[in-house]
Amino acid sequence: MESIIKRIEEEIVHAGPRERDLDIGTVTITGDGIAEIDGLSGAVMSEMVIFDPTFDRTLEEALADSDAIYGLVLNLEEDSVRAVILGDASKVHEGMLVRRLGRLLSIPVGDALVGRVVSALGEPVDGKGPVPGVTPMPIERQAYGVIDRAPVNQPLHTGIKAVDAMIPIGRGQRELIIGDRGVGKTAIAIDTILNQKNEPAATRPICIYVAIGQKESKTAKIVAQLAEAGAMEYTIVVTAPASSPAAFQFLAPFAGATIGEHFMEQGKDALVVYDDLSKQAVAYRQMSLLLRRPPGREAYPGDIFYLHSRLLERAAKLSKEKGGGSLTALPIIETQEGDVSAYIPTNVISITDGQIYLQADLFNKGMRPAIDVGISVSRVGSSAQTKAIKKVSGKIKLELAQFRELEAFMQFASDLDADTKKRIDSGRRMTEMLKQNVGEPLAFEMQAAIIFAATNGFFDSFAPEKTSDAEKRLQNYLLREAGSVLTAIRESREISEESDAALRALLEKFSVSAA
Amino acid sequence: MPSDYAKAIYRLKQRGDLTDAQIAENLRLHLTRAGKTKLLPAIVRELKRLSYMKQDVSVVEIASEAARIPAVAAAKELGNQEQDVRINDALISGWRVKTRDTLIDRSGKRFLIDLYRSVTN
Repeated sequence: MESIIKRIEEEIVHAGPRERDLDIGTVTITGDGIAEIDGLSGAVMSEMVIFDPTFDRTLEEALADSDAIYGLVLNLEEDSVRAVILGDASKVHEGMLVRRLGRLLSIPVGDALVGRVVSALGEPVDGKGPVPGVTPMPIERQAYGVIDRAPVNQPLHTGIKAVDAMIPIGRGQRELIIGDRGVGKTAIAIDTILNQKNEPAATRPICIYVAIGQKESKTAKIVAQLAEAGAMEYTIVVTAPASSPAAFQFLAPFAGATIGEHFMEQGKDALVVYDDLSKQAVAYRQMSLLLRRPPGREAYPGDIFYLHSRLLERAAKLSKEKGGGSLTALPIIETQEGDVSAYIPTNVISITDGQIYLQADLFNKGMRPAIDVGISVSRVGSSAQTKAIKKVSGKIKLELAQFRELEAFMQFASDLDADTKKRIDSGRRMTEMLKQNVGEPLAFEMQAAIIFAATNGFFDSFAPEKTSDAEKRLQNYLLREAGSVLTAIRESREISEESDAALRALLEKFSVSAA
Repeated sequence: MPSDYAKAIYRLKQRGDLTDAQIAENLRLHLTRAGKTKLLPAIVRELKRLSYMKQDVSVVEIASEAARIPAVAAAKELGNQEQDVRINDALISGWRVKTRDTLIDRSGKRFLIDLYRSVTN
């Protein structure tokens, strides 16, 4: 009580004539989360404004409900401005006073955000209280220029064999995950986050999962999964659920990028997953139509490409002079009926540095992860692979490509020559080897050992359809018997001659004992 | 479209070529011929809004007569020649002046609300 009285004394002593309040406006029309404001003649684009509910009320009424509602100016018109309401739109009414805040939209960022679940405005929603030690950072920022960037050459391991071997992702890259609903796009992103637990703490990236327009139950399930696996120690979740206003679903990815940049600028690595940008595009379309902006193709506004390009350009690998940090982006796009030539998918494909394409057909056939390696690509390529993985994965893509060519002849198996049958069986074994359960990412040294076994014929003694089981048994075997070899590979990040010989000897033993 | 009609009517009024009655009658005839009589209420609303926007009046609210002189002086400083002075008990003390895009608030109510927010936040 005494501290409150002292505080009030200090406030009264230091209260002097306030600077005059410039630039106010009055709400003339409001509805659907948009307010048209008369006045605010000095307002700038993307400026924050505040809808002041206290102007027309008595003191008692004002103190009972003095929570201000913020808005974001998005349309500057001849006699008025239009702003998106960032809060409870039902509290904004015609005639309400609006004040400029003189700053762009910012969110609070800080190291203490790690382990928390926050909204698109950076407010905690996990019930764990306020986030301490945060500073505001603008949500829209210019991406780093060419001079400030360095080449992408450090791997970001997803823990998924098919990705790390054939579609390797580097720190600072943008790799799109694209496919129909329910084919495992989120699973790939979550497994990537889970796999960062296998990285040493010093180089482990901070992960940010941005849930856009998702069901709250799905987001809660993901948070629980990450917490159970201990991944929340290095993860931040930004959520704008399906029940939130379109403005929040539009802003959430930018909030995720801003949080990622906070860590990147400290020289650390960060990974941000945008799940998914199709929903952000739909939310932006809704807002633009309500703002009376002219609709273009599929009713999207003309700057829909710029929405995604300016977001994804913020992912970068910074030069040593700028601290050497990185921000890797994994945007997710949902296609309809596998149509990758639709408007939004083609836009984002042209922006990103590669795509992981998930096929519903493969998923239904039991190939999981359902990655179509034929049309998935990483434009960074082997620059982002450890020597260990690079050594063993060179042959896989070619073998799988040859297998796909020959697959059509499989139904004529009895009429094929021995060599063709051998290639088909080899392709089938390779395909089975690449299958992996959800939530079970593999450390890169284990992946290297398994792919080594597959490409050097150590699975040939097993029937192709049994390869998946054999691979799981091999994993257990290697964990029991090959600890020192795996450690050597992990520390040196390559398969040396000694490791090669030791691994071959162990795999021979395994093949004999398991056959 | 109602705002375009309102702007056109406002300009006609400023030019003074026609009287208000002539403008109203001609507008009615035009809307009837064009089949747009339903726009009339919206045009009237837009015209009211436009007239308010263009006027050069300050709304001056004072808690008591003692605050009239400084309040009116502040309003004149804003450049507006017309002041609409009202007594508003809710201000508790002091005064405030509001124009279309400027507010000067020197009221006791504002002071107490700001004090409450800074102590409780």
